[in-house]
Amino acid sequence: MTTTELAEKSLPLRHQGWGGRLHRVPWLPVIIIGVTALAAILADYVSPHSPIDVNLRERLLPPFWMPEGSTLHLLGTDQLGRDLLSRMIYGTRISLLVAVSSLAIGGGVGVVIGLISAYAGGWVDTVLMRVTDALLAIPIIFTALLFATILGANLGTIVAAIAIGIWARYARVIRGEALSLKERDFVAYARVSGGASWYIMFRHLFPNVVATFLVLISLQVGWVIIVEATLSFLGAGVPPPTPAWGSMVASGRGYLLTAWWISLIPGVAIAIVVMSFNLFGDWLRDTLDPKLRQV
Amino acid sequence: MRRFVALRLVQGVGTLFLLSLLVFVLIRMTGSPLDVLMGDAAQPEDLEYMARKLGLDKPLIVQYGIYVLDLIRGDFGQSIASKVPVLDLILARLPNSIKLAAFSMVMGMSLAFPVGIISAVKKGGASDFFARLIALLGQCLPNFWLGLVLIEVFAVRLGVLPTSGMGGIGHYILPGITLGWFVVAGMMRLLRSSMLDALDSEYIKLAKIKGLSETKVIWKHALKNALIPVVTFSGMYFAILVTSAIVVEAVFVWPGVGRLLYQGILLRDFPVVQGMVFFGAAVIVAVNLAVDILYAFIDPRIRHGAVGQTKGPK
Repeated sequence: MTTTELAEKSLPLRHQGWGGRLHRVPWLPVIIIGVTALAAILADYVSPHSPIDVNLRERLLPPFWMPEGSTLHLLGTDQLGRDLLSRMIYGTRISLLVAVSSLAIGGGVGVVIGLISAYAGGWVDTVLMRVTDALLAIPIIFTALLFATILGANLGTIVAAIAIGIWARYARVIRGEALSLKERDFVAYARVSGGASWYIMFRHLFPNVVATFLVLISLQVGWVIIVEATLSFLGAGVPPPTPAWGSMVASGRGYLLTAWWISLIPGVAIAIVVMSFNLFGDWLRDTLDPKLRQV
Repeated sequence: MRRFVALRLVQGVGTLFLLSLLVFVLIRMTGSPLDVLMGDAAQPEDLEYMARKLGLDKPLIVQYGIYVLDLIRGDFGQSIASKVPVLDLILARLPNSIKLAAFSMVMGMSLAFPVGIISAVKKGGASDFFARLIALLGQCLPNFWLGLVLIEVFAVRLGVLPTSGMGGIGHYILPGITLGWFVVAGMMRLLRSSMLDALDSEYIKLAKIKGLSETKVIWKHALKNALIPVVTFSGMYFAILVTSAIVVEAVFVWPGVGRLLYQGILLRDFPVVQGMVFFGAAVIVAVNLAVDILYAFIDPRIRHGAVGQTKGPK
């Protein structure tokens, strides 16, 4: 074994392996996330065409780099002659809207329940934790598919279904953090000086779990985007003609032979955006809270 | 030990109860369950008949009791589209799904284990790069998209493999790769990191100092301990396998239970979707239970409650 190998082995685990370069802002992912967010916000101004207007004379046009492609439709058109670039730009709205709102709702509920569970203890804790255990055993796709078939697929049901599926994870992690915080002196002082329970929970416990909460959220954004895309691919997402990346992939399935770009381009976009969020989440975790490495 | 098994069994049943309660409340929230069950084309007489038949004139708590008893008996109702009991539909397609899942697991694991281990031993080498690439792509590629790319390349462009459906061994390869990838990616990553941990430990240093051969140290001493986390999370990998199978079967038109669920969604065939979700959840709960019990046998710390709840990614 060489000296460098030995030196490497003696480093703490988190300095080895996957990450390697810690505490260095991953600029490329940050830029990609920024561009995606801007595209979603400014879709009305930046998209070259309408995302839903059908134009049968211009159907199945290839992207601009192919022989018959034109710069009028940079990424080509789909089977109904809709401009793919515009649909991609509007599609960011659904992806980000679902990710942000389901994580905000699910995460928020999870934090509140986690704090209550840890602070109250006793049977409240037992009941809440049994419910979280039960929920953690059910894949989110399942609950979401049930929601979509019972309530009908729309933005609200997707967000609700994902939020119901994920709050349990937040509750569990935050409870774990809060349990140890609860024993600390500052909480005891707050209690002695007459602080109400809710005040202690949100004034003293909550600020101490914010870092963990943010890290968890950032690590899950990419995953929620994939869940949403999967649902809309399966036909349980936001109904057409609203463009969503997953349903765009699905709509091009019959055209793989003649027009592969309809399916494959949105998939590349999903992969790039999800990877950016994951890399950003990894960085945030390593920066804010290396303990969470195992979560 | 018996207490531990009983506790876990109760927890598993609790999960299914919670799911049934969720569905029950959801259906009642949206109005009469008959709207969901019968669709828009139902006549008033039909609705009245069904209401009496299903006991919908009784109090809610009794209705829930009837509902749960039906579920326990495996009675998920009849498919709206095909008028066949949902359980029959599931059981007829289950063997096809199991065949595909088994194929992809055997193929995937025979790749994941050697690559995961070698990439930990020779960190920074070619197989490490390969393992990290597979794991990274497994995290960020949507599985339906990978399936379509494979069809595009191998079936459409090269024409060497069938695009979809079930048939000879060739039909298994593309769906098998797609399904295996996502389960194996996580497993490879976990095996790699737990192998790195194991190789870093005192007992491995001791084994090396004792003069054992490198092969023996790696494959016997380190691997044995590195496998423990993989066993812990195997229930979670199974859940990933089940959910990925829905998508993969939909993409490759595989005549299994995943495709049954997919068709149920498209036709808004509620009994089929409900039946499949309960069936899938029950299988996942059962597998988790089996893993926990197996694990308690392997590691006595678990059955004595010394180690807290198992937590896993996602």
